[in-house]
Amino acid sequence: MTPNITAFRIDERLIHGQGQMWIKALGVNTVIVANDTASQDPMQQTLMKAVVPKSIAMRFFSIQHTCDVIMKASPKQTIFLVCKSAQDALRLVAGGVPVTEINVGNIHRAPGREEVSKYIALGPEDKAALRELRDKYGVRFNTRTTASGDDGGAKVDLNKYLD
Amino acid sequence: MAGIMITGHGHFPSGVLSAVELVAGTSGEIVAVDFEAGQTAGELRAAMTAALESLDEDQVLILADLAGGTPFNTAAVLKQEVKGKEIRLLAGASMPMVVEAVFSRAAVGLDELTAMAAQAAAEGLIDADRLESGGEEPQFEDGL
Repeated sequence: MTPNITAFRIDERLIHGQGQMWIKALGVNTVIVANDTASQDPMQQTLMKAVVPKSIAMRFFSIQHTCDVIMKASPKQTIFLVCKSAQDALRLVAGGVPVTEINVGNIHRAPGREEVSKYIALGPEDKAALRELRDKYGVRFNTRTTASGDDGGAKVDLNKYLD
Repeated sequence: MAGIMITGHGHFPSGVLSAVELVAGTSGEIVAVDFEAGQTAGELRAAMTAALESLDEDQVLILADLAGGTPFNTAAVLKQEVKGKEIRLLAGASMPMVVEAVFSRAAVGLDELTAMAAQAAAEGLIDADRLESGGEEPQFEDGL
C-alpha cells in the first residue's frame, strides 16, 4: 500500500511558522519530521509540537527509520513529510519514500551557495542531490514558500540552476 | 468572503501584516491602516473609510490592536455608520489572530470567522514554561 504523502517539503527550519501554515492548508492528519538530529532532541520536538494542533500526529523519525517504516503507514494517514536538506531528501527517496514532487521551501544562504531566491541558496552538494532526485528518480520541484497566496520566493525554476 | 482590515497604533498594522505575509503568503482584500504619530483622529477616520471602501467585499472583519484606543474607537463608530457593509470588530489583534483571519476567510462567513479569530488569539497565547511535551496524540492502528 502506497502511503498518502500529501506533500514532501525541504525546509532548513523543519516545522516553524510557515510549516504550521502548510499543515493547516493541506489538512493532513500526520506530520513526519525526518531528521536525524530532531529525532533525538526532545527540546526541538517540544517546540515543534507546541505549534501544531493536538489533533495532528507528529512523528520525529531519523532518515533511516522513515525509509524503514514509511510503507507501513495506515491508509487513513495523510502525511506532510518535511526534511532539512536536499541531501536528506535524496536519502529518503533513494531509501524508498515514494514521491513525485518535492516542495523546496527554505535552504539558507551560506558561503559557497548560489542564491536562487530570497529563501533558497544552492551549493554544489545541494545541486548534485537535486539533480539525482530529478534525473534518477523523476522527481519534480516547486518552490512555493507558503501554502497559500503568492510570495517573493515563488515560481523559480530550479532546473535552470541544476545544469 | 469577508475582507480584513487591521488597524492600530504606530506601524503595528502594517508590521503585523508583513509578518503574516511572511508565513501565510499574500492575498488580496486585506488592508492595514496605521495610526501614526501626529495624525489626528479625523485623519485616521478618513484613512479607515477609504480603506473600507477599497475592499470589494460586503463583509469586513476589523482587527484592532487595543480596546479603547483611537483606532478601535474609530472603527467602532464606522461599524455603526458605514452603510452597505456588514462589519465585525475585534480588539487584541495578534499574529495568531490575524493569521487565522487571513487563512480562514475563504472558508467561512463573517460571524464564524470572527469567532475563529478570537479563539486563535486565545490559543496562541503560550507560556514556554508550560509547554506540554507529551499529551494525547492521535494513534493509527497498523500505521505510523
